[in-house]
Amino acid sequence: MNWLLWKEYRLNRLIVLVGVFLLLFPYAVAAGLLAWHWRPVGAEIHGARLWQYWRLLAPLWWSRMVWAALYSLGISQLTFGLLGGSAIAGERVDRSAEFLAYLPLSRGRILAAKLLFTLAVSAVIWLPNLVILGISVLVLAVKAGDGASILANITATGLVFFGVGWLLSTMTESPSISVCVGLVVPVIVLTAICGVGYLADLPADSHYPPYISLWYQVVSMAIALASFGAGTVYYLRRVEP
Amino acid sequence: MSTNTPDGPAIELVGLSKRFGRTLVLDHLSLQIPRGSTFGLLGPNGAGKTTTIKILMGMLAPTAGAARVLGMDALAERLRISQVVGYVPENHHIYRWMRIEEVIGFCRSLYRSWNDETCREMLDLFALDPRKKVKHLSKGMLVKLSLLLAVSHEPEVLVLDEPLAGLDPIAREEFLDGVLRTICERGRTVLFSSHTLDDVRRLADTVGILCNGQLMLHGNLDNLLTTTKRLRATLVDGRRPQALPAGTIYERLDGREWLLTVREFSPEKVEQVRGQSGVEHVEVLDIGLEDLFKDFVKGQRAAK
Repeated sequence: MNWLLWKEYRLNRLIVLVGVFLLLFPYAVAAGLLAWHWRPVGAEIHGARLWQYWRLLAPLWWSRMVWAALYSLGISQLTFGLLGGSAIAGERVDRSAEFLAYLPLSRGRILAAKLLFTLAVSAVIWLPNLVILGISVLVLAVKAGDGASILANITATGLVFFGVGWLLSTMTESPSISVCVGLVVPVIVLTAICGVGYLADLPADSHYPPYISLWYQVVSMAIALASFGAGTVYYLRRVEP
Repeated sequence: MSTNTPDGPAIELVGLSKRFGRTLVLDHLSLQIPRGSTFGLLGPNGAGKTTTIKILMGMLAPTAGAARVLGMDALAERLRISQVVGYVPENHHIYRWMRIEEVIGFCRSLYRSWNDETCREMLDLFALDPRKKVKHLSKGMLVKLSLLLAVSHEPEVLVLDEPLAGLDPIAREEFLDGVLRTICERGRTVLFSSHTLDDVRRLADTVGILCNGQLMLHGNLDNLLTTTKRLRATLVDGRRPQALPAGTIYERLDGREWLLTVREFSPEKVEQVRGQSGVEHVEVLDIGLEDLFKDFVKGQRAAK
């Protein structure tokens, strides 16, 4: 399995780099903006004043980190779209799938390696962000509130990116098509839910009524699971590489 | 269900058909290759050689019929088959970013019977540098690496799909040496397809000619060449006689010269040609594998 995981890493190295960039970019922007607006000047930088300065800055820093973490999590979901969409189609397009096809390697092991690798990438993306969110909530002593709903939406979106991309990846030879369709599906789902809500004249006390989030999460999870299951079964039953 | 008996055929195709859309690529192909033999599969482009081999390797599902390797069904027991079969494909898609030593490590982790000694011997024989990346290998080196990977797990059957296509004479020679070595040392069954008839002549003890998805000719190579002859008849007025001797696979009229390629040759067939009106003189010529192949394919096309 180690060799297979290493192969997955080598095949997806560029995607991992993109993922790391998406993970860090919001933090870099948040830290940069904070430093620019609150940059210490002159004598304030020395001694006790610096500590006072930090105490003053800390709440603002952690509140910025909350947004950076959520933003980082949100855009990092693109990584799962790229991973899912190129999982199998990527090896078909460079025809290395044909090399694997005549080795004594079961489809189950190939899939297991791909999923383990995706889980590892998920851990890299989610864990630091969740830790920062947790610390921020503790430091700021605030309730999670809408944060949980936002996290659920982000999770649902990432799963749809991955699931739909994965399904198409098992069927096509084009990672680009798989990735693009995977990325478009959440937009279609959200538009459809808003359209249905509007047509059904559901109560809306704001521009973004709460049922939209709930429906979006439920429908997205269902699509993601169904796509992933269908793609897996299709790949396991398919004879051609 | 596997029926791997020691005296059963190494490779068995039973009524194998394969259709891609409306195109019938294999048409009820049946064939048995005994253990320990070297079988050369010949055929023009599009005859179905690669399709047959891919079905044997479990990479394509047949539309009808069955393919068995060492008694195991090619589709249902693909994983078991790949442990005991070495395969050199026509096109090599080994990970280009790997070094040779990494490809070897990758494959070694998958085979139960990987033999490091054989692997080292092949590395030396082919002068392959383990540190070299696959993307930096020439076509000849890539084919040699492919052969190394195919034989290092000590397979019982070796399947080579047009392995010599595009190789220069030296690379071809070195590759053939490697194949011959594995055949001689281990007494393996070898199935290979090729367009290079000299190489087939050198390796194969049995050949089959595949044409339009059907096995048209199949037999011991020496026997085929001994029993197939070319008759060159000179005609009085250039008009072709009506009757052809039985077993004629190809005929051509060129002015007053009438050429016939006849299987299962016998002196009676010469007499039959000589006895026809308008035939002035008949000469019997030996035929090489290349001419036999060409005449056979042209004869099939003409008949179609």
